[in-house]
Amino acid sequence: MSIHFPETNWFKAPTGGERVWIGLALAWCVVLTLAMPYWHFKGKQNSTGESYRVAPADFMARTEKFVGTNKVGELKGVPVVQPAPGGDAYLVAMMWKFYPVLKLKKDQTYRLHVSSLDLQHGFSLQPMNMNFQILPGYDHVLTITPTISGEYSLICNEFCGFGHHTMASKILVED
Amino acid sequence: MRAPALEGDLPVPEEKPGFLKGNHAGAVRTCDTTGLPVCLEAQKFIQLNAVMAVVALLIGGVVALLLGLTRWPSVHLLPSEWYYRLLTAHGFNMLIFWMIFMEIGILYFAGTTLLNSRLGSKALAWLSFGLMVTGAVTVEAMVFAGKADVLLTSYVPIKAHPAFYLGIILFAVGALVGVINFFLTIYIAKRDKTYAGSVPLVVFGAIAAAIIAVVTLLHGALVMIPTFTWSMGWTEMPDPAWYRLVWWGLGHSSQQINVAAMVSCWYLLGTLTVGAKPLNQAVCRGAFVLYILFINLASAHHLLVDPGVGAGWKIWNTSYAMYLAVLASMIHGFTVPASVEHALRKKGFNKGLFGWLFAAPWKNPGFSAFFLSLVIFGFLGGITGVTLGTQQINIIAHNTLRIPGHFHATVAGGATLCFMGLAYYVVPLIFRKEYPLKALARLQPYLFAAGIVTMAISMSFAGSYGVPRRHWDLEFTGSQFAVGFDSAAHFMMGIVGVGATLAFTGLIIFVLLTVWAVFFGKSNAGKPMESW
Amino acid sequence: MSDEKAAEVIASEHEHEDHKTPGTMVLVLILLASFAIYYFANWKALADVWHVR
Repeated sequence: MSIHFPETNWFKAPTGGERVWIGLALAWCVVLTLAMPYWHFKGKQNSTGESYRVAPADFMARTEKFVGTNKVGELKGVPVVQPAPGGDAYLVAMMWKFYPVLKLKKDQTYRLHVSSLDLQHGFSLQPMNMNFQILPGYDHVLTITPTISGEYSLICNEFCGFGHHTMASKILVED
Repeated sequence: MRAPALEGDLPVPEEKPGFLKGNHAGAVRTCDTTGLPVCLEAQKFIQLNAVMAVVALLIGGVVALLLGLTRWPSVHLLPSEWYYRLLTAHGFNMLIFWMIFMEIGILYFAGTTLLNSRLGSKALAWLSFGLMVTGAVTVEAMVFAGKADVLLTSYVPIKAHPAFYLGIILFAVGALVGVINFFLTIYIAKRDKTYAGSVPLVVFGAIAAAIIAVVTLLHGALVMIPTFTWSMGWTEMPDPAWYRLVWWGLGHSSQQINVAAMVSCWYLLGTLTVGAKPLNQAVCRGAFVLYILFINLASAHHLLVDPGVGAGWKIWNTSYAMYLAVLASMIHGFTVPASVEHALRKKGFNKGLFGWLFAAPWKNPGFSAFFLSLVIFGFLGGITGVTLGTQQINIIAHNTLRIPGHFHATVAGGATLCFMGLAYYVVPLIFRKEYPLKALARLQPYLFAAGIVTMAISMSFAGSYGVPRRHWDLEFTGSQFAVGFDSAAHFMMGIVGVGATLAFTGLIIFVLLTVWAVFFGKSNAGKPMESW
Repeated sequence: MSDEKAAEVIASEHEHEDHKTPGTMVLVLILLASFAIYYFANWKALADVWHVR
């Protein structure tokens, strides 16, 4: 009984079904463990967490410079910015908007820098459903390659105060 | 159909090897049902903690219904401020107060009754209870007053009233004092030689939970104290990435206390309801040791798509830390039902593969709650948890509703349901009161389980369409840019509301019956509890 | 019955105790199968999104 004292010599190696199951479970845990390093080298979707310390004001200045050189239009009053393929792109999150709107080319790779000016925010690309954390003070670099063109929504999925549920933007991907 | 062999389903222990002379100095009674010694002082504190736990469950439950009805798109009940406010309250009441009060009660029970000992220290028990109640009331007051709209995680730089952080610290210190009192009880039992040999399995599991609790609560102090001093303006703000790392040392590990306590209760309820006996003590205990060694680093699962920590760190902490703990859960997932199967087969239910399962006492809410908890935790909670906590897969899951879909299966469908099952024995055995309306009590675990399963699955589906967690408005009304979710996501959110309503029905029946039983129930003092 | 005899009976019961739990084995194998399906389905879903490092 689990609530009573065990007999004195309770230490026994597992036998029968228990032994088989422990073996199977352990083998499965090994599969789970190896899957991640495998994907790290062979898979195309990894969160490497590349990041640099940055003061919010500095990050904003870099973003403004990026917008100034690469702006191609406006959408609902927000600049639309097209970074050079292979180049850097900047995205700032703040209560309760993203700045600017990005316009990317399909199958081109960008170094997308994301950071926050105030609270923690979420980078949630929909309906692709890719999610990353945005922290103030950290320049989070996502080396990203859009593989499907279209108009995507970018929403915040980290609670950031009472306007949280209005925080959204667009990312445009053309062929 | 109740099986005849299970009449009077409480197995009175035939033998009690190991019990020596107790150290109670008179303040003890012998349980009229199990024959176990009950320390009266411990009994009082078990009762006090259980009452506070049920109060927290009630608050958290009422709030949960309102939240469920808010996320149901066609109802959308609460205004946004109140949605976030009550979401904060829901997290604290369910994940922290209900669980920890219950667990302190379980520790006192395991340390005294199962070891034939008196409670370590009455003064410490009062101190613990006083601090926990003060802390909990402070947090509730701050949250409901709108001074702490920061959600459970209170990720800096978002800031709450200093009293909110102070309340958390007081509660954590109180819980730590309770855990220390448990260790003191074990020390005294050992010193006074109240028992011989190894401690029972349930006590072993409780010790595992208590060790994890110490580590957890130290993380709590480590993160909450600098956050408190920052909120007072005395120190700089803690670094947001550091805060997340250490906070989850509290946040995730506290759920591992629940896991260890829940698994202990599975063994306990297995014994109480069908006389189950672990097939191999070494295997069960070994699995608990794996929990102690490997579960605390689960903090990393919340940082898998974070900046500040690299891929190597993420992968290492996901695999080495998690998968041996996963192994432990998979082992318990075998040994617990195997002990039930073995016990029932010994009673003669030997027909086919599952004859024992059909013959199990499904009308006993202690059994149904326990077994449903086992199934929901394993099939829904466990599988989703490991998958979402896989480093790269987290990219398509982080902060979506898939996460609450997972942890409602573990914490609500698993631990909470299991503790409800425990209550169906705690009230008759410790409060010595009979439950009224037994037919309703028999139905209750099924209602709650059905609601939670419905909710957890629909949340997971909605999350896989990208619906964020902790979010008031799927329509993004008032947003600069329109966001359209798949109509399937909207439909799933409706099912979330339905599931929440159903689960609430099960929860409120549990609370009402329990409160009724405790305060107005028929006393069973002097005779065995009525059979379920 | 003397204590030694009782101990003997218990010990022999232990040796011959039938620890076969085939029902549980089937249950846990179903668990493992669902686990594997769900787990690999998620890798598949991950493979379909944008590339990121």
